[in-house]
Amino acid sequence: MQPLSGILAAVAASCLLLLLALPVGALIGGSGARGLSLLVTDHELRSALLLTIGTATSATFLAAVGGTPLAWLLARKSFRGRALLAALLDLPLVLPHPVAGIALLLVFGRNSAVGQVLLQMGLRIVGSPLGIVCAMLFVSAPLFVSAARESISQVPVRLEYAARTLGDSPWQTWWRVTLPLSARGLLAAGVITWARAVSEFGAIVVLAYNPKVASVLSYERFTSYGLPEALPVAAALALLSLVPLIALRALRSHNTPLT
Amino acid sequence: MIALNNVGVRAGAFTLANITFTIPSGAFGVVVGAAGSGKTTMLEVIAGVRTATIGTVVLHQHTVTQWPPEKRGVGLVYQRGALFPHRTVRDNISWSTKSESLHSSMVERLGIGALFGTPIAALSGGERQLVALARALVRVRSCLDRGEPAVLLLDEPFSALDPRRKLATRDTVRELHRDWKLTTLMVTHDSAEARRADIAVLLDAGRVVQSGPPLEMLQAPARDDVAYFLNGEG
Repeated sequence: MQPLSGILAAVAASCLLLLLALPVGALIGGSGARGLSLLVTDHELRSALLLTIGTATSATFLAAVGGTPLAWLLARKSFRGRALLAALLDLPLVLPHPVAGIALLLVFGRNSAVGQVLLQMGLRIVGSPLGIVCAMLFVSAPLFVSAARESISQVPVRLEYAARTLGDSPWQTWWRVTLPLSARGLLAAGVITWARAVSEFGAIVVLAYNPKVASVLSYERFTSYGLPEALPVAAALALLSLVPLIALRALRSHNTPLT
Repeated sequence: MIALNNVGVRAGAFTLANITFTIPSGAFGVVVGAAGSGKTTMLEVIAGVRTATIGTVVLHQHTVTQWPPEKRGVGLVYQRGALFPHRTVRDNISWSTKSESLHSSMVERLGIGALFGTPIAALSGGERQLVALARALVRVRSCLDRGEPAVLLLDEPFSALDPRRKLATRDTVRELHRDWKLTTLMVTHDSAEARRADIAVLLDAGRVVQSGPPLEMLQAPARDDVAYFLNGEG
């Protein structure tokens, strides 16, 4: 019975692995080279990829700036409403992404109060790079907070206590103890956030179809010109998505013992 | 002086309540009690890393209940050291001061110069305790050098040392306590060590069972287990 269950488990695992790896492998193997060569000649693809990288990096930066204090708060402090705050932060993860886009449109659209105030300040969200950043931030920031919270939680609180008794202020304790010891985890949180932002489509397509990021361009070429035209763009995007994965593996391969 | 007046604090599911005792200036106090009785939590309340929700903490005539830890002039040694693993042994010891002479004298006094090249993760339990002790003593001395009063809080600081090193380190701490006129409070499970103290505090389930000079406690015990913790008698 035991060998049979082992075989069944191996078959199930292999099937899943094939399902995950085959499409990406076929995409990169079949069109990766053409996708890379198009980077030289296809101005629209190059612009879309650069826009994707720029907006994803901005969204990641903003997620880190706002998300790190939230993660610290959730990891270190007990307060009324903590569970509610955690649930609110998880909400974007369970929303279908077009729904997230519609919700953002409702708040930042031209007819909304917030949208009009922002327009008066010269900030257009709908159909602008700022809108793309908003959509990416909305769907990926919860991932940053969750991973950063986990990373900060793993720093033994007594190390922070020890630093305080040795004369460090709360800020000094953060800079000298908590941040260095959770830096690798925070960096990994940033990589995951960036990867999620790069791959976003649903919320972006509702809030800012133009200017086109790579995922929207890939979709547009598929619907307008068919699979052959969409493949190189999709392959270039898949290659770009591999970068954070490799970075993540490198980060996880070397950790400082915390005790 | 260390004085706790009706102190209470909640730490997760654990509650410390009605903690009242005084360790006079220059005295050596010990805290005894079973595991989980709240000894470490009590030291953390005195150090200020946990804030008492009720009652007052007085250090050297100042009511410090709401003071942050860095203003209290406290050197705290955790049982497992709580050393900073991303820094060197030297960095750990000199964390609170840049004074090279103070750092060197403490390293020499505790005989831990040979540990400088060792990564924190590779230190044994006893070596961690010695480095943590040096770090706290440097902090206390630097407070005293600035004319600020200081107290030394020790949470089973010799528990991982071999017998010979334990005696030598205990004597060093006693000497520094006397020479620097420190007020010291030490958690211990060593009944012989507890009997040598000026004041003993017996904790059970987050409450003070009895406190006072150990001999007086033994002569008039509040409970049967006072002799167990102070005399090692079952």
